[in-house]
Amino acid sequence: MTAISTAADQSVAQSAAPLSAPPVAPSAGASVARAGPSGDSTAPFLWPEEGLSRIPFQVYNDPAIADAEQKRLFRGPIWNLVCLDVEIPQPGDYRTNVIGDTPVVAIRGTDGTIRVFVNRCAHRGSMLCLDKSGNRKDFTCIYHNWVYDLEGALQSVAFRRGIRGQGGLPDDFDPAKHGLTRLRVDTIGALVFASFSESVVPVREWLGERMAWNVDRIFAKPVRILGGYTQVMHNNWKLYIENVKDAYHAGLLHLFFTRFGLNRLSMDGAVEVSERGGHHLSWSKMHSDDASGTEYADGKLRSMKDFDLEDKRMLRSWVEYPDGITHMIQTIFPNVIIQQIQNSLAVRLLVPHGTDQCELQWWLIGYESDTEAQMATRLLQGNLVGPAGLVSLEDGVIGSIVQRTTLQDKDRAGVVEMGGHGTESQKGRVSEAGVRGFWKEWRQVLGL
Amino acid sequence: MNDTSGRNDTSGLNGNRRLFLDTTVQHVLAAAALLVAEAAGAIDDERFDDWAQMFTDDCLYRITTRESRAKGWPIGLMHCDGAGMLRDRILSMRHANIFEAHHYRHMVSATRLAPGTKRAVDLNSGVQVHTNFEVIRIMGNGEMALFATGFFDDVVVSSDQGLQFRKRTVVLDSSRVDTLIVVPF
Repeated sequence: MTAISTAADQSVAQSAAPLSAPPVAPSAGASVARAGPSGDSTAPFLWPEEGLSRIPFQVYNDPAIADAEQKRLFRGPIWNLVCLDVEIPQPGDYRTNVIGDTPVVAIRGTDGTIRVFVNRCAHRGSMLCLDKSGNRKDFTCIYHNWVYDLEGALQSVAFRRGIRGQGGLPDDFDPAKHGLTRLRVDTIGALVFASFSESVVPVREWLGERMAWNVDRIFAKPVRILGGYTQVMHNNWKLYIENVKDAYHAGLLHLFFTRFGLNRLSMDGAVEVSERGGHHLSWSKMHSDDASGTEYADGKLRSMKDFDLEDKRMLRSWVEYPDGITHMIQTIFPNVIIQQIQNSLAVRLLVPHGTDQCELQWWLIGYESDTEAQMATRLLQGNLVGPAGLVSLEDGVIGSIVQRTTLQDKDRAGVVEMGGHGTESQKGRVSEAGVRGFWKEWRQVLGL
Repeated sequence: MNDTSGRNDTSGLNGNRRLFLDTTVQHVLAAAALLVAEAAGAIDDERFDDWAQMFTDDCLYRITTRESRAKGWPIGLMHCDGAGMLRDRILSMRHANIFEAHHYRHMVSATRLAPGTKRAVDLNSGVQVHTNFEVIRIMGNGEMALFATGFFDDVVVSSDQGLQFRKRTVVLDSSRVDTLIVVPF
């Protein structure tokens, strides 16, 4: 069927034209506008003419789009989260991860500087660091014993001069040209970002003042890691990101938020969307609302039904920050989430795996300065988040429930008109402005 | 059972040799294994209220991971401090949470004393035992897959209610969880 085709990258279309049955003619609802006749495999991917208030199902299923994301997005003009700096406090400490599909390693040098390299020997491509974390004095490749220093320079090659004049590298081999692939690195708070792009502006500028404000707010004090796990989800990564940016669902799907008044759409709050669209903040203040006169009060919402806990200690909290905001979800384009749910603080990184799977890496954090009582509160509130979280477990499955309905009808689209058609920040959180914002920047970066 | 003190030293081969012959240890392990098996059966049969009754009121039930334990991280995947929180989990699963229907099948190993158990084995004061498990998850559409492996780190105690768990730490081998955990292990 349809493959991506743009002047910028013809090879994408050639390399991964997806095989699928010709689409059926749309009978009702939204359809994706096309330049060519329906079913024409040379027809370019075109966004629906309604604009950002329609999300074509094809974006969740097309291998050509997934491939374009690897090339133009994750290796494009963005910053990718690699790890938290507190994971690698000492010289030689390293932490491996991936940027898109590319294995990378962040390592603290003897000078204290954090560098990020593609985790790949310049010789034959063998992975250099196999463990999730550890400490290295150098990078020695297990395959042929090529050795790189912590700045990525090739230091030695086993049998470079051969044996007794036989074999070895030619005289014109220049080790300086065979170092590790080094990425640009920038940090904000405890977050270590890397980029393949030479042109992207520094992280703080890339985030913009308002988005950087929340990162500074969360990382105002030294943090410590309190937990971590990975949640594998059976949906395209963008369905999860949309879910996080969708403030509308949080007060409807999650009974724990609504029933116990942790986060309701009727509370004081806002959805704030960055200029380019891709970053967002969604926040609320507990105890600030009056649900009377809203749909929360008329008893028709599932998430407001009669339900109570025997032991409510996990709902206890203290006001974490002077601004009084008790619920703050931030996304950093395209795949980073910073979470404050009461006193449960976390950083999440979403990694795509093909079109129909993704994994969510979680870092649960607290502060070095936490008292025992504060720690105990974070521990109990940990029950709300993660794969077994009374709130977050529901987000683990909802994307998969959507994914399965979008497999064939690639010419159909989801409707996102809550809060209008634009991407401007708004006080009301009955809004999908954050979702539209994501697609605005995604389209701009992908050229689609 | 105080007279068994000193004969339960599991450190070193000699200790183990004595252990195998110690009828008190055999009796205790058989009783603990029965409780572990009953708990697994109750979950698999979806008799969750029966399962919750196998815990003392002041129990601590946690799900964590091998990595989390190695790193000394306090927050795992689930943390129920007391039987009330266990019952709340079951109530939430039944009435609050949104997920696709599924059930588990547990396969459990023989139950053994926790490594380093040196003091007298006495169910009145509590005995720490380990049991390996595999959990297969069966979805509503019949799809089956290995969902989790790991071990139960249990403290089993004899009480008015019979044998119960005072503490259960479910240690998952992997830190990767497929989709979600709503049914406890």
